[in-house]
Amino acid sequence: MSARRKVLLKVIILGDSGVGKTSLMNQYVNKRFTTQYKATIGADFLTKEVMIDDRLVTMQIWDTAGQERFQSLGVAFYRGADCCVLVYDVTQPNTFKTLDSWRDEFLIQASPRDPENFPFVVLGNKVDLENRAVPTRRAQGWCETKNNIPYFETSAKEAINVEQAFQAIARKALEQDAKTSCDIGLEPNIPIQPEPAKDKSGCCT
Amino acid sequence: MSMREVKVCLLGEAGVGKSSIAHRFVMDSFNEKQESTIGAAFMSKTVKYNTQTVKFQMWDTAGQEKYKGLAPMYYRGASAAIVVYDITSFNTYNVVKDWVRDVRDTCDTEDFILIIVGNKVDVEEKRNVPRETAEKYCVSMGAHLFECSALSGKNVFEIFEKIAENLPSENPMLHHKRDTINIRPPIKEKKKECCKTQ
Amino acid sequence: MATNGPHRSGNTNQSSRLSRPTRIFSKQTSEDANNETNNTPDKPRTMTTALYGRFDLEECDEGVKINHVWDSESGLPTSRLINEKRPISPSAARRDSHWLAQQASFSIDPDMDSDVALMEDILGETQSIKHSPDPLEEISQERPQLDSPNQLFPIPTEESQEEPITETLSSSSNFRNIEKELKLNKKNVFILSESGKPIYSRYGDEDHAVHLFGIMQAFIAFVEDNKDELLYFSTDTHNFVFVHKGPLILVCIANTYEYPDQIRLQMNMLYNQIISQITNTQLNRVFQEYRNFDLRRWLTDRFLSSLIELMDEDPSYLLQAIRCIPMNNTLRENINSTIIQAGNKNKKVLFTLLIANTRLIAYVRHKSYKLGPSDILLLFNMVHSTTSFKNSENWTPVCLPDFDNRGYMYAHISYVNETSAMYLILLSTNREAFFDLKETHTTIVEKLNSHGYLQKIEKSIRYADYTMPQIKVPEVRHFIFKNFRLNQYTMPLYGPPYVDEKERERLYGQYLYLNHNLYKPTRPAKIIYTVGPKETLFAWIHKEFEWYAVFDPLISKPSAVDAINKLCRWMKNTKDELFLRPATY
Repeated sequence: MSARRKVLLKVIILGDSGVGKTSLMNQYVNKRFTTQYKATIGADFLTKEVMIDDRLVTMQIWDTAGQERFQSLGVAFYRGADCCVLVYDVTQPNTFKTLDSWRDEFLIQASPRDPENFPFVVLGNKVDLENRAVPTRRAQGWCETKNNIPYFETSAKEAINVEQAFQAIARKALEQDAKTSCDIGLEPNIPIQPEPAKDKSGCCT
Repeated sequence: MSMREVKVCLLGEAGVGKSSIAHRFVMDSFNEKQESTIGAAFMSKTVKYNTQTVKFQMWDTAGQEKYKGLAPMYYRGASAAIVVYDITSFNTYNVVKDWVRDVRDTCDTEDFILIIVGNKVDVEEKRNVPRETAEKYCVSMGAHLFECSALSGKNVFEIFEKIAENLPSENPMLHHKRDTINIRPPIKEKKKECCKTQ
Repeated sequence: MATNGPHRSGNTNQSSRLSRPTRIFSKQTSEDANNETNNTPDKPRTMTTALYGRFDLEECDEGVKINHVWDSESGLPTSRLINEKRPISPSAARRDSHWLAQQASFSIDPDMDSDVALMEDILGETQSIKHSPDPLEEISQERPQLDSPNQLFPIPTEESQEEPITETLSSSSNFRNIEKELKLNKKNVFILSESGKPIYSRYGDEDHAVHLFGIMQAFIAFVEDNKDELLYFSTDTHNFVFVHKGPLILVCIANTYEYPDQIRLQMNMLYNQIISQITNTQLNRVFQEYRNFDLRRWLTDRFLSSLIELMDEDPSYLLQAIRCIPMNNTLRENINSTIIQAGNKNKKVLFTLLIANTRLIAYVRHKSYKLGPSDILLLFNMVHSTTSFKNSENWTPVCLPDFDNRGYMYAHISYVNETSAMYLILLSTNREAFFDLKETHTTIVEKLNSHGYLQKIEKSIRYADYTMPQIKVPEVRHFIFKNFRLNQYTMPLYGPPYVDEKERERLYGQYLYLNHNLYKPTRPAKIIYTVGPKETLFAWIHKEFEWYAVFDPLISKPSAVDAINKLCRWMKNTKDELFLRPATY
């Protein structure tokens, strides 16, 4: 009968092109990282089953293209997302500065019900590289001003923190998904309008 | 000997065996392929006990979430509620508490009979809800606990016997029924009314 | 005659190389097709290319092999395709077909992208979705000539030349199973929310189809972001029909005799069956509030699966008409008056239906309200789908979308007794009316019983079916007759040669073909008479009826006309037995 069904969590990854979104996904899903750079065109997604607190859920991670493509992808992709991951490259300050607009863009496109509390996760990628340019403190500071977005520093290449980051993402997404289940009351009591004439006679209401 | 009518409402999570308990009681049978209830099913059975004859009118409600909003309609006028869980699933036991809270909110009278039933004792080896846990809770809620098996029939009839035993004396019973929907076959003069009898 | 016309062989042989092209129809393309002179200046004429081609999927040692064959045989479709980056000129395709026949096979490694690629190929070559830049830039009237055969396939750009990842994903292997299942099952139905959350899958657990759901959602979203609506694709074996209605997406992948428009009708019925459980108002509200809502826990899957099964073979759903139990008029009137009397005592009943299995015995309605056939069919299906209405009286909310999709009615559903297939549905708008309706039910059953009507009805049910020899028109092998005014139809039992399931299915395919041609939006036919190798087909649409009949293939036209006239006379004489007239309270 109603054995609890597996939840599908929809996650969107955003960030400037070249920050390593696709690599992060590959690292997470395949445990294998190809150094060949893949610029994403349009959108692409992967699915992965994850255990969160003894609960098996399916994550569907949507990888998107660089900023100039945002509009052409259309709002439909972003609708119904359970979590949005913002990625920047710690060696490229520009990619950090655009996080704000990525976040705003997402909120406009996806127009979630409660934008203030919509779950984001920020990933600072490529920490394996020497030429780091965005200090951790700065990134953390930004996250704090945005309603305490969880922040992870990752390296897709060296598999640093990737698993942990995606666990956090899944957890956030699950929380978002669960929000829909508790406070919705579907009282099946909408009266048929108009009430048939027959009920009017001899009725005390 | 008088004939008493008792309205009983079966509640609980989907799949715990409410319909199976009802069928065991009414028809003394068990359907392996019992399908989930749609809306609510109404059944009745008359039983002779030593001192009285009781006509049980039972609402077997659907456990699926979508029908939850309808449940108050069924337990509102009831004299007894049987809240069922599956002893092999702790989750279904947790749901019992929600039901008990809802029922207590609506049917807060001294005479209201609340029975909590752990079904499926025929698969004792898969038990997940210790009897003691449920017992403790029942005591705190002033409810009766039964562990039964609709499959084998064990303890099912006892549940209803308990309800019969605990029925309040006749007069207050009528009193309580007044502001509920009418569960008796309507008497002639009531026919033209479509609202609650005041 | 259409390519998948009446005598289509139902060929599933994947190895035949050149065959019907994959064609994609969206709303705009079908509008274009309907109105070829559509040249309104404010609406730029969209590019008219089509993807030609078919695919074969074969499992081989290296993984799944996609044999993609561009079709050069077929004519030029007028359809605009989803913004294929490099539009293909049919003449060029023809020129290169020889080369293609040799080059068209390529292997895809089971890397993570292959899932997507595979599906895209299943869905009919949609690399354009992934690879085309802003599609609006590509609207062109001139179709460039094809220079080199390479251009038939998207040229990998430098960045996208990715080393294949050889590790197999678990989701990927799931997907392979799904893909296998897709081909195994004649008709797959998937329902998802606009945001791609799984709601229903006919076969298997919908969890396993999440990958597929993602692609479907992307597909629909892509087309809609271009202000268009995806309707269907057809490959030579499968129709892929997409219905985006309210917050839901319904997808059917079928290898059946059904036409896309007929499948669309079915998807709409399924949508209505969902509405019957949640109401349109609540469905929209819940998805407005929670785009990521998981609708599964609000639905009874059994209703949907049962409806799909019924629609596969029961003409009721195709015709949107009810089938009755034939009986004599006096008995009908007696039943009606029994129901009316019982209902008049209790003013809370709006509709009463007496039904045996999925056939109507009596229908009494409130004088100012009517139930449409599609609502009645949903009720039939609801009871048909479950055994849980047996052995008890039942009270359930149900929304009848055609009557009012905003709210619930309450249905008292109960069999007349434990052994009978006969049940009564009493509908009220009052959710507290159970005991009133229960009483009405009891009264009706008691009266029917005490007057002996119940036994008479049971007898009618036993003799409900008639055969062609019984009506003495031997030239007609089988027919379906629909009465428009009453929204009812009648048909005899299937006789020879339609005795085995396969033949019956084929016959049903003929009816689907005739129905399609009667209702084709571009050129609807009034009368169809067509001679095929296995039978002669006849269809006739008239303001009062719709008629389908099959004859021996060798019958002469005059004899066929004569037989139809004989049937007409028979129909006229027996119409009061065959069809019921609703009575009113």
